[in-house]
Amino acid sequence: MTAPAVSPKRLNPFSALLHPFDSFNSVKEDGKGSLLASGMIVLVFFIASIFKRQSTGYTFNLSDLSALNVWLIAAKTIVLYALWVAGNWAVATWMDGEGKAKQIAIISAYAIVPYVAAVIVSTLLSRVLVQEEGMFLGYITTLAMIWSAVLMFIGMLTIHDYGAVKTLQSFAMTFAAMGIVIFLAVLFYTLFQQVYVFIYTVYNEMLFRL
Amino acid sequence: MKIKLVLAAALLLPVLAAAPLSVKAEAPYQSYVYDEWDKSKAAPASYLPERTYSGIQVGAGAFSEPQDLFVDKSSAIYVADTGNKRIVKLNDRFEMVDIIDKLEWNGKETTLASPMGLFVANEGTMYIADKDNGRILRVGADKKVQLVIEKPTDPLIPEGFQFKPTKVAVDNAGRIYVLSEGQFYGLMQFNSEGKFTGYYGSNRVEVTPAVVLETFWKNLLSKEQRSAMMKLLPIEYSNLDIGYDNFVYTTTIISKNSREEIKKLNPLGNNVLMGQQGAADFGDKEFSFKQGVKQDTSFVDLSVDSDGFIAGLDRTRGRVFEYDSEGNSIAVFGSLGNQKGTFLQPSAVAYWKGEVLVLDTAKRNLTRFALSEYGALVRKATVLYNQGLYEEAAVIWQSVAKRNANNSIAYVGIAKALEKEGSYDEALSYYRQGTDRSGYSDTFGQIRMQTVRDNLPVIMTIFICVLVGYYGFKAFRAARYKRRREVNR
Repeated sequence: MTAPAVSPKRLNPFSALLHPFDSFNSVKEDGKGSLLASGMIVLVFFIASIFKRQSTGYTFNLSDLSALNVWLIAAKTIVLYALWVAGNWAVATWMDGEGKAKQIAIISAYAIVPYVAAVIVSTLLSRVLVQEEGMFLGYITTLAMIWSAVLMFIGMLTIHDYGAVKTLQSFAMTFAAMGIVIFLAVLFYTLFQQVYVFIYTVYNEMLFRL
Repeated sequence: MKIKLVLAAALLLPVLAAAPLSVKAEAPYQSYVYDEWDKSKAAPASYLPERTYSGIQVGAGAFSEPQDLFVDKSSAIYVADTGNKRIVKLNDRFEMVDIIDKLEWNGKETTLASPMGLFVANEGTMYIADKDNGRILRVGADKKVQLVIEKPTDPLIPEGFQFKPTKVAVDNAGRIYVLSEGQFYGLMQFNSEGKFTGYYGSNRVEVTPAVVLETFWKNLLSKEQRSAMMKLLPIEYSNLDIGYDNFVYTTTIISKNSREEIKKLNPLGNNVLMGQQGAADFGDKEFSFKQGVKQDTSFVDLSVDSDGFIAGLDRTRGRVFEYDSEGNSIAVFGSLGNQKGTFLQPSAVAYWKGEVLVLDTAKRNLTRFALSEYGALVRKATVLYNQGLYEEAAVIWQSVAKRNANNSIAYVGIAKALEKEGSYDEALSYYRQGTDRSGYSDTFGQIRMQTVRDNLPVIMTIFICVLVGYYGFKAFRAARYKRRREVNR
């Protein structure tokens, strides 16, 4: 009777938190959800992580505020997300998963929303709590982590059309794939550095002799 | 003009000559404190070298390989002049008053072979660790041997054990604690009759990755293979002392984890000198590596004074680390070198009338360090603070903080006083500067409670208004709906 408030292409990330089966199914069947929104979520995740490091209340903040390394935090958030998506996509291709890269990216982003929210909430809370109440921060984060993990599990199960065991298997494979990617990246980095040093030495040598 | 100048100079000359020339020399070493992230920050020197005393200067002839130093309660100084097989007693003006080398034992004369360690209890009763003779001697002030402890026989002591006592200490009850070379079971404890009563306060095997790996392999191997492997042994102590509180203090040289290098053992032999996060870290926290070996602090001696301050002597860098009774770092001074105030091979440290004496085996002399202005302030404030006199201490802490902006204890001291008098907001910022998180948290809790209390009427009013408004609106809407339905019907 009444037209939906949102366009049919859009997926409300908050409804995905409570109705993961329906929402993630609509991602698969109706092509709902957008990469832009996913990108925003990951960006918020990144900014929230910086916020947590720099703005956690002094009682709970053990990090040196003057030594912030944004790249390191980016590696722990954005790069990790990208690695997960790439790894899962590779594994899904190999394990007859039905999900497309875009769908994996969308669902992975929507699944980390509870954790991102918990990072922000616990950071804000840490500014008003005293040491004895510090365990609540841990509770919030743990709870959100479990929630995110469940969402991720349901999401992957839905879009790849896996059973529960196979989903867990694909997760394990994904972690392995991520490890291999990191290993190869480090390997390439060192090798190319050596190649660079070699070329630089040859260049220097030529400069001296010619 | 010239005449005037000459005249002025001539007039000034006697004045200059008469005035005591107090030159504040810079210390030949750097002092520092560690910040929250274990980075060293420059600090003013707490102790400055005052004078050195060689054996000849004190009138006892040159020392040879002196190994130990003891200051008794009447401030008399005893030097174990190991190479000369004697003990030299000095009065508080650093003049030799006695040489103890020949002792009377059951009417016969006996000599010392190598007095490595000594301890002087009340009434001048002296305990000597005579290493090469393998015995501990208790000698009265009349130089008569009262008690001889030789290698004890006990089921706890393994076969072929060599009793080579190097250090000795005695508590108020007359219990004798002995450190014997190659003893990793802990300190040997004897009762006042010289009977072996057991080992005391053994170090534990440290859990390092290598140890974990080895334990893992040992689980897989057979008994024969296992016995062929290296045994995991705890570290042996390097020295010990008895504090005025009658606790046993110990030092260890090598510690892979660099933790608990200084221990304070309770009667059960457990360490009670703990940091805020478990095992306390003493000595340097920044390390260099020399041929792949970590150049760690190696404590060879320590001394405890009547206020509970602990001075530990580091052999690696020739530094003395001073801690208060809670294990907070107070001062670092000394260095390796040839100047006055530096050492070649420091071997013993002792408090003497609020000053610190360090014995150097290679230089064969004693160095006396006196408190600087800054050091005296820190000490005074620490004593007051540990007695709980926060307000009195805070005044001194203020001037300490002025001289050393990196002194975190000073900030905590000021914060404690402010907290006590109720200025929580100021206390909060001082706690933060002093990096005391639990103090910060407590103060913050007070502020939070105060804020909630002050704003409670406003908060409650808003809360009740919202509540009344919400339910009122609901009731109002329900009533209107009902009326409309009645109208419609």
